[in-house]
Amino acid sequence: MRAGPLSNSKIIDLLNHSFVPVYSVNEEYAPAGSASAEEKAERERIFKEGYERHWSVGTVHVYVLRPDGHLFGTLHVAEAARAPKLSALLEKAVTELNPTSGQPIVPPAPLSHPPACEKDSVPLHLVARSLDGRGAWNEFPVENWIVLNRDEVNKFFAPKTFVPGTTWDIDREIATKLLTRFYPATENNDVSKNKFDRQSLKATVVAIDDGVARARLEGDMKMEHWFYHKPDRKFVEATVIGFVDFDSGKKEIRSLRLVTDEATYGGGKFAIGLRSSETK
Amino acid sequence: MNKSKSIAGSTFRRLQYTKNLISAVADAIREKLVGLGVETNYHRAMNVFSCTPFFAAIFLLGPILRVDSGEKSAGARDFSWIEQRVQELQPTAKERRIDEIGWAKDIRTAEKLAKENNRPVFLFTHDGRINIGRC
Repeated sequence: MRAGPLSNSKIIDLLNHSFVPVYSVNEEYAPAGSASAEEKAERERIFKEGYERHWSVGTVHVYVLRPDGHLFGTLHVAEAARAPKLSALLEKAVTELNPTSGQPIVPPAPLSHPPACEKDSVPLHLVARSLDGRGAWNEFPVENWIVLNRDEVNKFFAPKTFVPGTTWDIDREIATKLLTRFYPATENNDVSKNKFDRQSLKATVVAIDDGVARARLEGDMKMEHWFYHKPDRKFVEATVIGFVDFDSGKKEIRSLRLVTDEATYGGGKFAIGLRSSETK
Repeated sequence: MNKSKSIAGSTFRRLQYTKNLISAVADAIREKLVGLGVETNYHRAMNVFSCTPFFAAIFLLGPILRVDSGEKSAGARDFSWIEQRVQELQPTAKERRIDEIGWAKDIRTAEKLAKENNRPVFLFTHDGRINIGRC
């Protein structure tokens, strides 16, 4: 949907000017999900109304509601993913419901942003991009936000003091937290299923200037990552390289960059770029 | 045989460590020079210099080093390359057109706004995180 109709100018215009768009993440609306009980109940009400009318209903679906909240129409995602089909449903709603058209009710804003985090935490933004269109989905790059809290940053900088040439292995738990999201766009995004056959991430101080040190990061990894939610013996293999600028006294990250030099998965090539959101 | 492999592996690791250290120092010098706007011929020379021990080791010990192929070098990439690479990988505006849509924060908010503004609600239900593409 995101690479298809939700990137289509006509549909974007229709949604912004004549609708109130909203998406709901199934995991949040599951019984143990983070959505409120009222939200879950409201979504169930919509589904129930669809069932009562014998309309297409499902958890990966499009629903159009009238301004009074009752169902106007539904489309299975396989249909909705085709721009002409979705456009036809939206135009039918505009024609029959005669909404008050105008500017978007909610101003558009970037949907990928750093999560709320504790003071002294470091949000890191990861982008995974297919390089050859093989082995994984490749319509658009995918992202993650990884947050290192103060304790994790302390673990990251293991040595007590730093001078040019100081070398250390990044704490395994912290390296795992970073590297476990080094995979391309796949159906499976449950990183608890990832298994490392090999991982290393080392830092070497190359310069210190006025209390700010720069360390070069180098490592490599081999990690089993299933494309779908079942074993398929697919592995990420990658070499990684980067650098971290940090206050060597306070052990605070000023800037961190980590990229794959060579990365493969499922017979295709991809790349990862990880960078800190600079706050200082 | 095992002992010779072990010695070769140990030699390789030492050479690689030396190479990495020299390469890292060369990078730091280059960063300084670039920061000062100095031409980078010196850097090119440093790159050749920093790689020399490594390539010499590969040439001399290549047949033996295969036993230690678990250790891979990330190559002589400098800091500006890394910075540029991260930038190149960022999603483009065309790839993030979903940001052009004004989404309500949840279903009940959408319904409230729809009622107040006489508009229908477009609801998309899905697995995963459409905002970051991991879905």
